[in-house]
Amino acid sequence: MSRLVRIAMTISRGLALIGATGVLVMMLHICADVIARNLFRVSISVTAELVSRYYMVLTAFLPLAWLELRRDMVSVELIDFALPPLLLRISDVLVCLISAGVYSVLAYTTWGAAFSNYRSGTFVELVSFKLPVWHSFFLPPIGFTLAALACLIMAFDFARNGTASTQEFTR
Amino acid sequence: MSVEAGFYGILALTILLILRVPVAMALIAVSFAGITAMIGAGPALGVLSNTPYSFVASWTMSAVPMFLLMGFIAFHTGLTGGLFEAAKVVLRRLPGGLAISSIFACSGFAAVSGSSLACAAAMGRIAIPEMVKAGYRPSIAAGCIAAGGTIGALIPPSILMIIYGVFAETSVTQVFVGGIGIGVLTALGYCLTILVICWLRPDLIPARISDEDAPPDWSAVFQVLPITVLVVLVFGGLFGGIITATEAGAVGALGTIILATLTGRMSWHALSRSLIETVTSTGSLFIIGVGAAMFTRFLGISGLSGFISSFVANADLSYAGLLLVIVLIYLILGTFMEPFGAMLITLPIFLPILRAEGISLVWFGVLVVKLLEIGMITPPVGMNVFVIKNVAGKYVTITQVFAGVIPFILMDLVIIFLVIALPGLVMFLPNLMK
Amino acid sequence: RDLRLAPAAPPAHPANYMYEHFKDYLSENSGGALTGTILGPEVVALPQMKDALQTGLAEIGNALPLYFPADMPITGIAGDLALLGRNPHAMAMAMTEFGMTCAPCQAEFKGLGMVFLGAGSSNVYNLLTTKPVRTGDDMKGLRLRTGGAPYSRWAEHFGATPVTMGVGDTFEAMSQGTIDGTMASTVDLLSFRLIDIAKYVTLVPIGTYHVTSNFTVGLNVWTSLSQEERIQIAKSAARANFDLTDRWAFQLPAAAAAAIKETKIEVIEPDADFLAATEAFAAEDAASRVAMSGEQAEVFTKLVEKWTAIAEEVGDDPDALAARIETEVWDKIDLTTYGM
Ligand code: NA
Ligand code: NA
Repeated sequence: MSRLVRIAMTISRGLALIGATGVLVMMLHICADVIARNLFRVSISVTAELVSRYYMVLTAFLPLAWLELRRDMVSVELIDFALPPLLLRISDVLVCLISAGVYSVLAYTTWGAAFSNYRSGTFVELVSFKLPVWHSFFLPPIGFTLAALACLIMAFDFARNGTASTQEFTR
Repeated sequence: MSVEAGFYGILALTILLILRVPVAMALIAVSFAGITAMIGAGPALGVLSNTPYSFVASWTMSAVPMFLLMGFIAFHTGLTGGLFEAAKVVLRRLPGGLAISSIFACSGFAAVSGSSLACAAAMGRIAIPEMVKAGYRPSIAAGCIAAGGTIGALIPPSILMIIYGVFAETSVTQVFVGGIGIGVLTALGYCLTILVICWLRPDLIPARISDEDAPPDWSAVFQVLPITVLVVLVFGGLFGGIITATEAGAVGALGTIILATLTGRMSWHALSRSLIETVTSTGSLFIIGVGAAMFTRFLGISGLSGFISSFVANADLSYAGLLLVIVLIYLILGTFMEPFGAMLITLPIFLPILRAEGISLVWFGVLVVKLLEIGMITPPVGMNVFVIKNVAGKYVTITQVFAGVIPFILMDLVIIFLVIALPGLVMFLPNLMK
Repeated sequence: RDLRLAPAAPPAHPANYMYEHFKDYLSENSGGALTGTILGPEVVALPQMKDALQTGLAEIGNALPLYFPADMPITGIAGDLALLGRNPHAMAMAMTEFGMTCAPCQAEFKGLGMVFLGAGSSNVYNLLTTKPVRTGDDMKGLRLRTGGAPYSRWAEHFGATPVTMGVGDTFEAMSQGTIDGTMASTVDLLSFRLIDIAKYVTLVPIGTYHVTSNFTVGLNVWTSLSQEERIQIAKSAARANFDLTDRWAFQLPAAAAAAIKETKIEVIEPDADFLAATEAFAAEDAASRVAMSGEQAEVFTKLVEKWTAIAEEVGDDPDALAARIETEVWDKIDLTTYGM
């Protein structure tokens, strides 16, 4: 396996771990809010916004490349059994290329959205202050770009070896 | 605008799915191509640029990873295993006892989980390997859990019901209470299905648990104590007005971690596995959700929903005819659409008709959630089936799981008929509350 | 030409009602040459309106500038002065003139590729609560949902804690006791079923929601139209703007009041001290906003005074009001250059 592939997998695993941390922090933050509200009648007013704008976006988009490398994406396997190995291999390559294409378009257009939000400095108005949220618009394009690369890597892998060597590596 | 485009889009989607393109990618590709064809690449790129973020950055949606986390932790620390073990002891004399136990365990888990996916995922891991070991045909074992998982969205809490309540401007609590009725009815119906399969096809489900002569381990019943505490915690918090349904997921997840730690079941391994699986499931579900949201926007632009609405309005149907049409539409939409998307495009069409007909929106909400949940197990896009494939992939193929759910779908149709013929089955509890 | 119209609201919502009327006026004013197709909220929702108009997904849409505070700080000043709201039609007309004549507001719309064609207003917000509020003291310690900074300031002034949350979460939060109530239009009793859980409605006037841009035309669309078509669209918008206010601030609140009578909800007239304190705080708040935000805040305050007088003179009839604002504002706008 080439060094480039290893680097890609290390990066995507790292991003997935950030997503996992996001889930844990989300849980703790919501619980802290519930406890503070019920015991001290104090509310952490930023909870809902931080959860939706940061933890959720983090959890949803950063692990995409890792999911692709693990082949965890949901697909319909109605005709798998009917395909001879060569057709299956061609189909695998094509599917990876289609996915790479879709992710590329998503990445292209969400990078645009991210920079436009960065330029206007998008924020959310909370009770006592303005919470800047433009940073979080960069998470989807980062996830999509890496997912596009992951799909390209797998397309090469399938074309050369007939299997995705990345799949075992990420288990 | 171009109703034909809507139909072509559905056709293209079906073809891409059959050609093994991942569901999310197929939805996104068709939406992009469809909107481009109808009004141009600019608007299509716009839809692609803002849908992912706006679908995901949602407070209500945060209940999804939280309830998933709760389910995974409960599974990896053996808390949900207790449910299944206890049911097995109690129901050991019944034919198909393992399958029936898993339906009971699903119902118990449903009371702490808001999503049918979390329920299917958690139960799938424990129950399917055991059923296969006990000689069940893998497809029926997987089908049983895929269907049983739908109880997770019927018995409250239920994310789908919360969103319906907000959308239909009706009381979420009432819909929740109505959900108890249909959840219990579904569980009983599935148990009956299992008994019938046992009787007709003993090659699919062996009549008895293999170790029936061994003395039952009654201490297993006490294993349900932690999960009972969890149910009391979440339900108590919810109905006692301490937490909201969105918060219940996080509180439940933390509660599960604490309970598991107190009972000595917690480990770093369990926690890290749970987190990783939560991220994996959340990521693969949300990207489909993003795709479904785009597809919904595409269908909306095509005017297909408006076309259907006027078609129904002009048809001048009787009450039974109207409900038959609605049921059929949801069953058809459910075959390929994700429930939120299907609900989002249909409610604007149906709610005005229902209000005009004077049909109870609480009752209808329960019916819709049940119909959408059937869609979770019908091909080609059956999210519960995919989850089962995800957690028990080494036993079954997707096609086998789809085959295994067929008897349960038949029972679902009977339940739908009952709910329509005898609305009191669902409305009995909400009416008591008034 | 068929235009894609995006009210970003479900059928029962006032915005949809307004768009149905707009569609009719449009085909009437253009002799059927201009028609519209309404896109549902599942196609374009409020947070997506900016993108939808920029990319041409929607050609005319209901944009709420307060959804894009970073892009529209000056236009947003009118929202920061929400506590001034006492007469809905006056607020709507003040906002319309403000958006159309304040140069920095016009620059903000242009910068976003949008053209402003007038506003509408909610009725005056009240308190919908699960605990009785009769005096200012009853406010102490209450947790109230807020729809924006000015309502928060009013709540905090009386010792309540404002809580930010999505309007769709209000029902659950109120029924769970997470909050004690909301500062909102009585219409929310029906549209968000708060009528099932609220126990008290206190008719203290809090303020209005009026920073709307009802018929926001995409700049590309606007420049591509002929002068004649622009006039037809503007004329239709000028009249349809009043349909939003008429629906949101008169028809629906009347329906809500009738619905309240069928329930056990107690309608509370606040005591005189509470009312006086509220009016005093509204004036004080407006003054502090003017001191803070400067010129444009003062412009808007003056416009509110001007249109309040006119609205009191003309009454609540949408046709009469539309005729009045056409001569006062629209006739002075040059549609060969407006917004471009
Ligand atoms: Na549930
Ligand atoms: Na399905």
